[in-house]
Amino acid sequence: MRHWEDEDLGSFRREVRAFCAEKLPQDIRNKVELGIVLEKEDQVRWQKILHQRGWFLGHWPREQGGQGWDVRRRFAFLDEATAAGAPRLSPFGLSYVGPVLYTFGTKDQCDRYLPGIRNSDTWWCQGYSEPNAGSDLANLKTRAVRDGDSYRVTGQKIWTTTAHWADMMFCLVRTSVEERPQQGITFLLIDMKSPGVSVRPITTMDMVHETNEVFLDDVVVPVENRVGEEGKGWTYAKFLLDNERISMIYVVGRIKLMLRQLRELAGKVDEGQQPISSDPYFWRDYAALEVDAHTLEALVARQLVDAGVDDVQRTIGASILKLRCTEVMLAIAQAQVDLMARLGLPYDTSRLHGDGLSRDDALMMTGLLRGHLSGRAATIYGGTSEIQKNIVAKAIGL
Amino acid sequence: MTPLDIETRTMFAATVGRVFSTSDAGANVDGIWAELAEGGVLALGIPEWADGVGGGMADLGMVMRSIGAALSPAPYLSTVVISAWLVASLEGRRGKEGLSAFAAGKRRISLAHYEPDAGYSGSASRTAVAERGSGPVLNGRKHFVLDAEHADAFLVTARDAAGLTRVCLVDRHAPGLEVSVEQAVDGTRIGRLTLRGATAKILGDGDAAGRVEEALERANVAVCAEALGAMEEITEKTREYLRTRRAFGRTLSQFQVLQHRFVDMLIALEETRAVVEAAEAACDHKDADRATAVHACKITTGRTSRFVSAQGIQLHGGVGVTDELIISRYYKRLMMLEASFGNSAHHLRVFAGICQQRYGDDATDGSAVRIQRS
Repeated sequence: MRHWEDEDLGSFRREVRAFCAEKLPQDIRNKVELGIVLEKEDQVRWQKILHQRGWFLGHWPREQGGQGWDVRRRFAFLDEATAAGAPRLSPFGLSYVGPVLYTFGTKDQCDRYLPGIRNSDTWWCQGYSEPNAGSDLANLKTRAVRDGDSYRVTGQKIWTTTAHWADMMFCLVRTSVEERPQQGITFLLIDMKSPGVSVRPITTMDMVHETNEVFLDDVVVPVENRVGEEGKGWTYAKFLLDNERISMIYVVGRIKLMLRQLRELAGKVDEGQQPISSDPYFWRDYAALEVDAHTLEALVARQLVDAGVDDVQRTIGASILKLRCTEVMLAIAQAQVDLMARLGLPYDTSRLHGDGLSRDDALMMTGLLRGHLSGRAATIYGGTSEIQKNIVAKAIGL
Repeated sequence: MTPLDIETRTMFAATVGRVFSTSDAGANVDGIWAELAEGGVLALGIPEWADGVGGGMADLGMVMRSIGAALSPAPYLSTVVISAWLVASLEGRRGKEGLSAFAAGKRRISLAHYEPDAGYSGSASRTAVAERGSGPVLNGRKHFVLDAEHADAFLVTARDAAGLTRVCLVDRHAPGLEVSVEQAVDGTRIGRLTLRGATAKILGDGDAAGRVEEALERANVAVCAEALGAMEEITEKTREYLRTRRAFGRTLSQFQVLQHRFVDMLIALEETRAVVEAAEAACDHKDADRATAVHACKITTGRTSRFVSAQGIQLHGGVGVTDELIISRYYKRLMMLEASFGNSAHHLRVFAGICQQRYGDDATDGSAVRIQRS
């Protein structure tokens, strides 16, 4: 039992583990464990399975159809499900725009959009970053001009993950130019089928198309799709970004899966006719990573237990977690590459979109390499590591 | 022993804070010890049935943090954390009298476990305990005995005729015992014991290897808590310096590179708090995976204390390397704490062995087909 959890959470963990063992489809588990590409259908299938059990919306309040999980229960769920090979739940509807809508949205907006999030029939994407506004998000330039009962939106978004699957995009636009760049930003919900919306794929260095550029050319967005007040979008965006950082806690489970992959790999890769797993030197490297994983889990626990103490502590905690979660994850991915290096790093991109029905060693290595390559983005998205350090420095008053 | 309730703990924390904030780091140990006894702090970690107040590892850790922050020479680790626990767990109620003397501050005992040719591998002990007509006697050599100069007696680990590990109580003035002390890097003094037929009393019955192992685990968690206290002070003093020291017309805190470095120190500090709390809890709840929690605690604290103390010096610049500025003394104290009861490298080696044993079979299972490039 973990020291920050009680017996009740312990039995919840066992329940989640048993559920995943029984209900997580084998092809999806294979894809996750191998690290190959998950299709939209896979994600939606798993979300619906979870929804049937009542866990998909676990951290939503009960009056919104959730279970009202506190952050510890949410962590226990994510930890178990992720370590068991379940896909990371796409956060855009579930954890980002959903909570924004039930916190700041009108009743009409909730009635219209929350059902599609609850039952996974609407796919959302996030229109935040722009070519000249990444970490410096407040510098965004996409313009929305009021025209009667609508806004006319023109501009460009980038790094819009799964925009090509999306029915809707929540989007930050500039409605006025004020003294501070954070002012004059408005939060809009845009139907991806609107005329003037076009999506251009971006292939990332893992040779996979997951993210996109989204061009908005005089797109008409009805005023009733504005969340909250005009010009106050930064408030809602920040609320959402806080959720984005805490959502990094899924990494603790992911790291357990990655350590398992590393051990499996060590049993399969030979050095001098012996599996590397028989070499004490390997276990020394491995032990250091397991210590880092243990330390990270204790760090997450500490932040969860202290969560809600005060805003400054929460801000610092979220940034520290994002920094350490990504660093440890990348270190393990590097250790996997270190083992595969002697095989010449074979990367068979033709198999990245496999059906997940079969597993073999070549596919595993391709998948693990993909994890290493796509992992490079982790210290960049959601605010780069350097931005996280700026945030902490500011919060402690340096 | 069960952890204290929160009110009692807060009360003790206040007493401990007062004793250490008013005492000078170089003050005589007898004075501090008397104050701690008077404040009831020495009863912490002593069972209720021996005039103590009980308390868990986290409670002892609270005291250790204050000791670390104050750079205090109080031999709390040796006497309370290690010896009192060993006596209580080996002797039970038979040890009541000795334990009461601990609580009253009338007795100080240090553990003598390590031997010059055994490194950190205490289980390779060559010190032997044998029965003579007059009682048990010890022969062998011990070194790296913490707080030796303040000890009235020693708990000496040794092997008996059957090859079992025993813990023997030896009075400082016992015939056949020769004690010498030498100065360590941090200015504290460590002891060497030469035992030539030294008269001793064997504690407990049967093999004590498991108890010694557990005592060392607790000692490791306690030195990590002490290190945490020292690191908290370094960090606070560095923060203050960054905000006041000016260069190139600005305060140091306005340089982004220094902000980021300081945030790295803060992260290291948070990691240390996390692993220390986790290891304390593991000791108190008899966690099945206590070994992982303790090794991880010492390994991570080794990494973080090196980083924090080195950067504490670096961010202070030239004055950081002086003996006058307390930062350099924290640096040397942290070196000593890491070295005590196995440094990071040693714990990593041991933990690597545990991992290989734990997972080695998993990893080779089903691997009849090796991956080869075809």
